[in-house]
Amino acid sequence: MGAPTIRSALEIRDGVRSGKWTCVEAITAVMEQVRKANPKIDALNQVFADEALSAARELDGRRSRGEDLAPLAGVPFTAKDNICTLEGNTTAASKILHNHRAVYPATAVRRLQAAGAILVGKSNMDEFGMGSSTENSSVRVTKNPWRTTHVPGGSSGGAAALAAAVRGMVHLGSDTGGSIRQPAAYCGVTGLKPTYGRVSRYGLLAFASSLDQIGPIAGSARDCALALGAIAGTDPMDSTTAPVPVPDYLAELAKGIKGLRLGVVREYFPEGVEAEVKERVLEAVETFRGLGARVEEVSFPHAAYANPTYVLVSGAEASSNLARYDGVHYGYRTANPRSLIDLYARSRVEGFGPEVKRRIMVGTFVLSSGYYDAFYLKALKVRRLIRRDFERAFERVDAVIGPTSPVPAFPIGDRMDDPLKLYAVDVLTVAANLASVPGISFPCGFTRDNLPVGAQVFARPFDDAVVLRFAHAFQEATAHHRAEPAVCGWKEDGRG
Amino acid sequence: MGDRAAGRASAPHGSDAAKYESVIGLEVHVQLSTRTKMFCRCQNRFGAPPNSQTCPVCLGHPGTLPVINRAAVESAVRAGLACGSEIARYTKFDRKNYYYPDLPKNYQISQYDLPICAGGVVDFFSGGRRRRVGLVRIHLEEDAGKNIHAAGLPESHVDLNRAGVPLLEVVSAPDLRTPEEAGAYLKMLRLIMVHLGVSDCNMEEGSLRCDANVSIRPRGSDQLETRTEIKNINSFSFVMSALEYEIGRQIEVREGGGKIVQETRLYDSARDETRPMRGKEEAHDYRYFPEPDLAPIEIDEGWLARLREGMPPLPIARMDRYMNECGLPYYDADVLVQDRQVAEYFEECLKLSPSAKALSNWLINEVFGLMNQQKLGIRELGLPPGRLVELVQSVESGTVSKAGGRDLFPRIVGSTRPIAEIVAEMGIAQVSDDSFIRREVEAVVAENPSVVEDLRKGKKNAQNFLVGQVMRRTKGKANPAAVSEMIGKITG
Amino acid sequence: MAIEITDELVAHVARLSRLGLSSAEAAEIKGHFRKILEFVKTLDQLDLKDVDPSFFPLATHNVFRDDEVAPSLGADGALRNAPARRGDHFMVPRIVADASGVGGEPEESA
Repeated sequence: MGAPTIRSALEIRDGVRSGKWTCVEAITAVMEQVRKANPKIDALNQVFADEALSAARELDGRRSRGEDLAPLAGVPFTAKDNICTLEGNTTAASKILHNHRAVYPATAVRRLQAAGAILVGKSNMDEFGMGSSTENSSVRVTKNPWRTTHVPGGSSGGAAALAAAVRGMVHLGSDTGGSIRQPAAYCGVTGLKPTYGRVSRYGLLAFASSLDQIGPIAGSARDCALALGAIAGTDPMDSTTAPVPVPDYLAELAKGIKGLRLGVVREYFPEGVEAEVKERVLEAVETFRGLGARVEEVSFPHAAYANPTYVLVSGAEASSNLARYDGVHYGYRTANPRSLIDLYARSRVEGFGPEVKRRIMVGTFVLSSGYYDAFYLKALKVRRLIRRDFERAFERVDAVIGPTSPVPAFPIGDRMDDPLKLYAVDVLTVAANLASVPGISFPCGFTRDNLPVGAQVFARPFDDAVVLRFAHAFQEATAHHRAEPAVCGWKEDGRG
Repeated sequence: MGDRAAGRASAPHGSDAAKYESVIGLEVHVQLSTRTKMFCRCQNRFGAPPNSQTCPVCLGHPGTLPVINRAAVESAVRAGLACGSEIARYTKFDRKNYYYPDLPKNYQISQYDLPICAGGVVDFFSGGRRRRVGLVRIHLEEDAGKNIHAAGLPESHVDLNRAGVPLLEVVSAPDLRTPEEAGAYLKMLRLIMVHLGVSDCNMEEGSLRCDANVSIRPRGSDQLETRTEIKNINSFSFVMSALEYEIGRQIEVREGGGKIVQETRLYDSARDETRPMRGKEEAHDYRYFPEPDLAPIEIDEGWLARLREGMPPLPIARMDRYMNECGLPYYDADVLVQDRQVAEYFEECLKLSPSAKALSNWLINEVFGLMNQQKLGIRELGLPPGRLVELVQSVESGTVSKAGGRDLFPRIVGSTRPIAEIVAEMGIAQVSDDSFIRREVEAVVAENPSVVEDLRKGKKNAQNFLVGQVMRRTKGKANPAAVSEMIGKITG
Repeated sequence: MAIEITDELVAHVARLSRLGLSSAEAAEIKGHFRKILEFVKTLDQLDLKDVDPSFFPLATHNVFRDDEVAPSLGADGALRNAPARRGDHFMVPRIVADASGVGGEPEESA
């Protein structure tokens, strides 16, 4: 029997449900794509081939016994390496957790698995989520499947790269300042940062508690909607999830965007945004206008302050969240510690990479006595102003749009000499985390040298369905999200 | 200070001590007796095998998050209501960041600038006087685990069972003036918490811990001077010893022309002294910031009203009533309130009988002994209040003698048989019948003419001898009071 | 606000962070601090006098759970990932200095 031609996760879901394929057939076909593509892009830190097949067999067994199929039965997924799974290790791509086995699964993982989705591997990332290129991983460098000399973006670089190179999967990433959306833009796939509080953070290794969210990265908005529906909703283990009902996101997509008001953010097209990026995004605006959206300009007067605010807030929270990695109860411990303080100081300096140490230092400083008001408290006040910018815009429009990143994917190594050069690519994504609004990045075209460009849409808190509708409407009218990267696992000759 | 000072190098001179006034404040940590820990569902129980009472949350595993135990919040509010504190309408948790092996996250979730309770007072008795100490605040936080310093090994061992247990921190104003007062305040605070059912406050098990802040100043001054903090105080009596030592030390330093250094000192109970904590003393920078993983708490009037309902009277209010309305001495009132069930039982008895002192005597002298012996609470003995009242009334009315009553007591416990029936069966009914008494007294008088002569001459023992003889003849059945009276009548 | 980033400040922050930085790392971070200070200076342009800080991002409050016991991991589960253990305890270098002054850490427990 020929291998199934798989185009999307939804297709696997429907195919398994209709009996067209068994779970084993679907998983085998996807794993074959992974086997061909992953070695060229190094997206995964761990592959669970045997476990995935076992799970697939188990599901097929249940169905043959006449049991009802779970809603996502047979859909393969990966989890970013900062999301706890009972399978394999959960390392956050850090030496300090290099062989850490989680003793419990993240709620998002548990929910996907309960829905019949099958965990296939852990994806590579910037250490603890700190970075925008996946070059800060202590494990490996992931390559962009569109051009393997270039970065896939970060910190969910592995997830985005695999989403581009293999069809039929959904990927769990995490986003604190753009870590789902920016790699999605660089890899030409769709990535959703849900509203803060939409998805449980229980089992997500915390970077910045008031900014982090787990979200889906996949080949289409529809696949993202499929995944979001399975993972969203309150969790008694996470006090920061909100008691807001979860709609049927797949069904919501059919509503389209006709009549919705779309605001183009004036401040999101400044000098630093490359010309071709601007052009692709403005073309997308025209596409939306053609689809019936009412387009107007909106202003975010405090847009320029988002990145400095983000650096202070995320650094402060991270410095506290990462204090637990100390070599005492789990994780890496330095050899032959001479004393307790030596144990702490050397385990942490040896276990953490340079960017993590920088951020912990900045964060500690920002919270320290004498500086708290001037930095942390001040940043929280500016955060209030940034939130107000969004609230005011949403009094007039239902969604706002801009580019995801000022530049497309850049060459590996290009921005590693100066951390602030890397921070600069976050400038358009961090505001959504500060304002706790949902944000989606979807491919809206390519540069002349064939690098993907991403557009970003935000909506009101808990209007995740609205941003999905915009991305989906775009994808029904265009084909950028179906383009083939240089490395793609579904081609016979496995170009790359 | 008494004899204890005699063996100490730092015993202050009597006149030196009089020059100074001590200023003491206590910071008390009370472990709540909720079923589960503060932020996770691990059982909150003392004495479990090491690290058996832990979960990913209280172990601080990567990716875990705290969730607030409602019962702990309610305990905190009730404690505040009992002390007349202002309950915050809006309160939140904060992170207190520092590194220690018994603190798995290397931060403690506590409360910084918006504690759940502010202000309040605790009234108590000390040295026969009524005293009032102000409270600064009461707040909620999670406990740390335990570090055990392995003897002879260059290691320390960490048990995280206690990590995450809910704590109330009660901070008093520096209103205490003597070590005795500090001990009395601590005992009353403990009693309040026990009566509320908020904690079992067992210092041996660590569910009540106390640090002290001490300074001295010239008597008559109202300035607050440099204070030291004393930690590692593990029992009520050690509170007083530690304070006595430290006050004596500070007086000696001042008298010697020195200055008190602001520092933290540990109390060493074996040597009965305080010592500065080892190692470079460095002011902690806890980098407090609001806990982002927890939603704030809003306490409305409705919730407060529900919590106020069913709050018991304060122990001191009970004591006031026992002393002022019932005429009991301080000692009795104090003993009776130590156990809330006993106090309530006693009050039920009072509804049936006004004989407070008699009831108190019976409780203290007989009932408590039985409770200890059988290891039962007062409600489990099988001695309903009405029954004890009946017993008291039997003695009061002369139906049985006091001695007879004590013999009767164990027989009425756990039995519903009428007391009269048991008295009859035991044959201890006391006889007060006039003619019977007269006959017996006349017989004894006739047999002891010389004693009667002594009695008429005013010899005290004569009366007792004659009463004794009657009691012997009647095998204890005669009512001694009636016998005495009759002897007086017959002998003139 | 003019803050001078000195070696002492960097060393102090490193100690608070329990990071035993090498001198090269400390020097690099000193430069990084200066860049970050420069980067966030723009926030001083804003008039924040009447602005409330944004603390908790959601409108929820009173998120509680019931006081009901759930099973614990057990000592083996708790210690499974421990870098060093002694029986059922986590093991660390001795905390409190003994008579000879060996070991020791100036922190106090809670």
